[in-house]
Amino acid sequence: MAKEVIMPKMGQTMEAGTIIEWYVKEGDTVKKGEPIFKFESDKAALEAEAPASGTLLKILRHPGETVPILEVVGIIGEPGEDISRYLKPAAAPETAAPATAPSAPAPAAAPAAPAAPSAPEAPPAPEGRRFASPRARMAARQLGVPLERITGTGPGGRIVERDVLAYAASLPKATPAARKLAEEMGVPLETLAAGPERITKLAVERAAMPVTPAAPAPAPAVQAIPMAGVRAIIAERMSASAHTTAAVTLFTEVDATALVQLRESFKQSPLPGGVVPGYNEILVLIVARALQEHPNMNARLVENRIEQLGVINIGVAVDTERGLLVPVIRDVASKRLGDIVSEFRELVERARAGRSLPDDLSGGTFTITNLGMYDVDGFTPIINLPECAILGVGRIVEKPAAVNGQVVIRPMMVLSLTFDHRINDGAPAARFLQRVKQLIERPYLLLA
Amino acid sequence: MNVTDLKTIMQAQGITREDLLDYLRQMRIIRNFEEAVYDLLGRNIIKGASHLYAGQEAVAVGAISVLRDDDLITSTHRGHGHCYARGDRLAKTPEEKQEHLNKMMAELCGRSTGYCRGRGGSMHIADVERGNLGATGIVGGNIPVATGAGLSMKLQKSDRVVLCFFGDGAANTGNFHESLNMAAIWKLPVVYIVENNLYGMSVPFEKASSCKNIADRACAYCIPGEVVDGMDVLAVRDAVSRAVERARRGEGPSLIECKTYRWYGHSRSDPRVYRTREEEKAWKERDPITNLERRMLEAGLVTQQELDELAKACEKAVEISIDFALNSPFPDPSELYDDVYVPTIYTPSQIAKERELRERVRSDPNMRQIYYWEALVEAFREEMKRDPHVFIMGEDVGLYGGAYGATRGLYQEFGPERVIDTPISEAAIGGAAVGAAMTGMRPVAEIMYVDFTPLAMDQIANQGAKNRYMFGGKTKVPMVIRTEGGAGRSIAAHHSQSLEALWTHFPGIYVVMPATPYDAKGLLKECIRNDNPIMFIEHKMLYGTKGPVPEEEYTIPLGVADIKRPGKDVTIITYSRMVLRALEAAENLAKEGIDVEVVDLRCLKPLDVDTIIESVKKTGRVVGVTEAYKTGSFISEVFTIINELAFDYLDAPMVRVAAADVPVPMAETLEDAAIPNVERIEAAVRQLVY
Ligand SMILES: Cc1ncc(C[n+]2csc(CCOP(=O)(O)OP(=O)(O)O)c2C)c(N)n1
Ligand SMILES: [Mg+2]
Repeated sequence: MAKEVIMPKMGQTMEAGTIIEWYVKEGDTVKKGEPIFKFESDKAALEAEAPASGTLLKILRHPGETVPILEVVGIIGEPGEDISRYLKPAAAPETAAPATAPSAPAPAAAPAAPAAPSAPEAPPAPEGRRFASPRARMAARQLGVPLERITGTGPGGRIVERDVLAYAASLPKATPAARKLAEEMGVPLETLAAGPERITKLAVERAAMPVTPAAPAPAPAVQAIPMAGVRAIIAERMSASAHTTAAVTLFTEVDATALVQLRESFKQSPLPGGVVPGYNEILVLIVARALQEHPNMNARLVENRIEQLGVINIGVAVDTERGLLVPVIRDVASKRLGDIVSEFRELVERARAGRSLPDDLSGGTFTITNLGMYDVDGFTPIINLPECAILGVGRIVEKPAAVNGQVVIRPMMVLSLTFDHRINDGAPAARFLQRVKQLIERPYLLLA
Repeated sequence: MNVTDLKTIMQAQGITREDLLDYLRQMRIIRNFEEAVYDLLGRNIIKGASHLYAGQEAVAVGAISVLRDDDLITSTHRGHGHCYARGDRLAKTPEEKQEHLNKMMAELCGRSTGYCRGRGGSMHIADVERGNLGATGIVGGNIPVATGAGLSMKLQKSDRVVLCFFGDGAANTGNFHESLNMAAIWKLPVVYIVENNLYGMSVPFEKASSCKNIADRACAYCIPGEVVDGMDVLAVRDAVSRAVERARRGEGPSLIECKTYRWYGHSRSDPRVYRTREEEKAWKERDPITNLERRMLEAGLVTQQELDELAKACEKAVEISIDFALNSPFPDPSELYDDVYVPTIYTPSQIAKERELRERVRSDPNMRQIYYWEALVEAFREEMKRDPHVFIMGEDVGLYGGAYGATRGLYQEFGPERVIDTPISEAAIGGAAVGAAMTGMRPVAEIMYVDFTPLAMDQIANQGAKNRYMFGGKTKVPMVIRTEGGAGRSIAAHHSQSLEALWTHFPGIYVVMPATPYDAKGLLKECIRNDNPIMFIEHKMLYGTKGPVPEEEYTIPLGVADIKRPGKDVTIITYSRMVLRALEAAENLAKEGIDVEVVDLRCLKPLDVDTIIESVKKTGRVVGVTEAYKTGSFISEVFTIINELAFDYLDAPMVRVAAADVPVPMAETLEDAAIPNVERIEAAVRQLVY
């Protein structure tokens, strides 16, 4: 009896997974419960287990494919078993079946149905012809996205405006002109996606420029990385944030003398188990304290309400091979520094190894992102929705500073707070930032 | 006739030798004019039809010679003689007379200097400013209009008289009967002059009627009828002057039949196979011009030399007119849309004010509620008090108060002169409204059912809607034709239709279809004040509906749609009773999470294109709902406009919900199946929300 291998649902929000690797080949035997393939959800890379023991008869979906949850990706059974029913071509895309009356009413006595035919349903698109509503065409024109790439969800597969908007939202941010040019020149925009900035026409032109004048015209020699997995998720979230929030960034310079001293002290006398807290971990504690005092910054926008959250979960952005991940330390306010340190380190380890648990990466109420190790001072981080603010931490660097009328050399650090002006005004956000600065400069206040 | 006769006649009619010379001159110029036109037609300089008056000159000149300067005439497709004689009498100097002739010739040549700026031509020549209410290309079409002008004179307590010319063929139209009957019962000051030239195109009168004389038909209306020699200018003069005096005294209309003959065929292309050359010769021997000349010579009133000089002068005058015409410019295509309507201009603040008012009316729970029919009565009462020129006419509008109560109580309040019960004569009702409107009144005529408006269509559409444009913008027709339509009372296909598309089709007339008491009152008042012809179509199932109407005075600008319910998912465009059904459907759909915008057009013409397009841009999805037959309904026109102006905004094909293409059936089950109902509107919306 053949057994279906499906894309499992891992975590509440997972809707699809991208297959990364099959651990077994077709024809290999597998044991129930053994990892059988690796996939990536919106949160993390995970493993699926074999649902039964037997032979992997067929792999239906291959690495790189994004598969909706519960869909069959492979078949396990006895060699020689008939699995033809799984091999049929995938069912045709849903044809629209509106709830209205059938097109021709039976010539019954009952006069209830009007004889006049209701508006004709769109006929299915003939081979090669792609139907799109005028509004969808206009949207595609304006956004510079090619209709050929879009799957229609209207009657008969007609592309409607919604489809274009959804497709456009899934793309890296680019100006319409850039999009149009990229399409014409065959440059995959994904390869140009560079942080939160929109890709410009110029960037596309540069990318499309042949490396040598003699290079053949088509397909400029750039590497194409499919927009999938973590990259696609980051793209979608970042553009959603940039499009929906009213983001304002505040900068302040902090004297890090006390902070540096604090860390030096921990180096001298570590916490139990020899643990020396890092700057990030100390900052998590400080920020949690400031958030406790400014609950307006630990809030989110839900429909038409601003919800202040009862718990403080702080995410710390971590650069991994797969891209940016934000492990979340839960209920920071109830934890001691040692707990914070050990929890954070576990989270980071799992994230780097691609083994994050589904809930490791969700549920944050505030995010800290530190680019100090790259010699960055100030920057404009993008809010991690649905949170209402994010704190960017710059490098600690010695600089001449004026103290009591004297120029002295001090370790200084820039903080960049991006907050959502829909939720908070400038002054309350600035007060929060000021409090963070005070706590960093005078850590003894944490005892208060 | 001998010498003494002529002098006796002159004495009896109180006319001088100069008068006779004037008649001669007028007849000669008409003759020369027609000869010149015949020639210009042959040279293809004048295009189109030209029905020539040569041979019949004595009728126009004799009849018009008895008029006062403030009297009125209406004319026909064979109208150059009427136009010339009337204009010539009112022109006081030789220069004015020449100018008059010039403008006529220029009009026939289609020049911008013509009487109608080149829009009317031979068949529609008019000089409304000088009491010529115009010629018509519809045989018999001018008879109701003349009757309405007579009604207008009577209502204005004026002793001005209307001369109505028409042919023997026209005497067999329903317009003739309806009009003479109407004029007779109300003793209107109209003299009906039938020019019996023996043929209606090719058909001899004896084959078209069993009466020997058309004048004999006068007895059917109990009015005087008289046959006169139409080749004798003085005989025509004599009969017409008696009829005109009678009319001026308020004793009512007369019918005068002038036996006459046209020299040319019906039109230039007519080979005249239906009449013999002998018959033509016999009539030409009775030429009205040479006859009068001979009599004047015999009476020693004129010398041959004087006659020759006169003839030369007349020829010269016509030559000058040809010169003038051919040296005049053709109308510029940029003038194409001029004068279709009297411009109606609203300031943005007027429009904003009404929008605020209607929002207040909708949201104020304490606003008084009145019936739709009451709203109409109020509108009438206020406008009739405001302007003494406003009057109501129609079948059963008087004591009865109108078939649906829209004139209830007004007869008692304003009396039979301002609330006039008419005979069942739809064409004459329509035409009388046109004639009255062209001569200073503001008629509101009721046609009981829109199903009956086709009976009056020629009068309302061909005369009322077009006259302003055809006559070069020199007239206006401020009339309201009120009627009602729609299904719902199981009275089947002659009393249940929605025929607005017939009316929106014609340029020159507005179409207004209010859905609520507030709209009905404000729009009716505005229509009465507007200077254009307006078809005001109520709905029989709305009279008994109630709605908020402010106590204060207000009007509603024409051409401003009302978003009766804002929404974002789908736009329903509709009007009249279907607004209520669309709103009901919208409420039901809201429960399914579908947010429908209902746009009530209120006016189909002028149409609020901006509001429609804005809504389409917002939702991208359109359902049009109309109670009219699906084929050719006005909603299809709206869809075409959307297609032209907002194609790129459509996210789905537009869907019509319209009446089935069957004559509206009586049985309720069938009627319900034929007319859009709430479920079908909902289904259409759902079909678009995928
Ligand atoms: C309602 C209508 N029917 C038919 C015609 C076509 N037609 C134009 S003139 C004419 C004859 C009219 O005869 P009559 O009323 O005697 O006028 P006449 O031409 O003899 O002056 C006809 C049939 C028309 N113009 N209008
Ligand atoms: Mg005739």
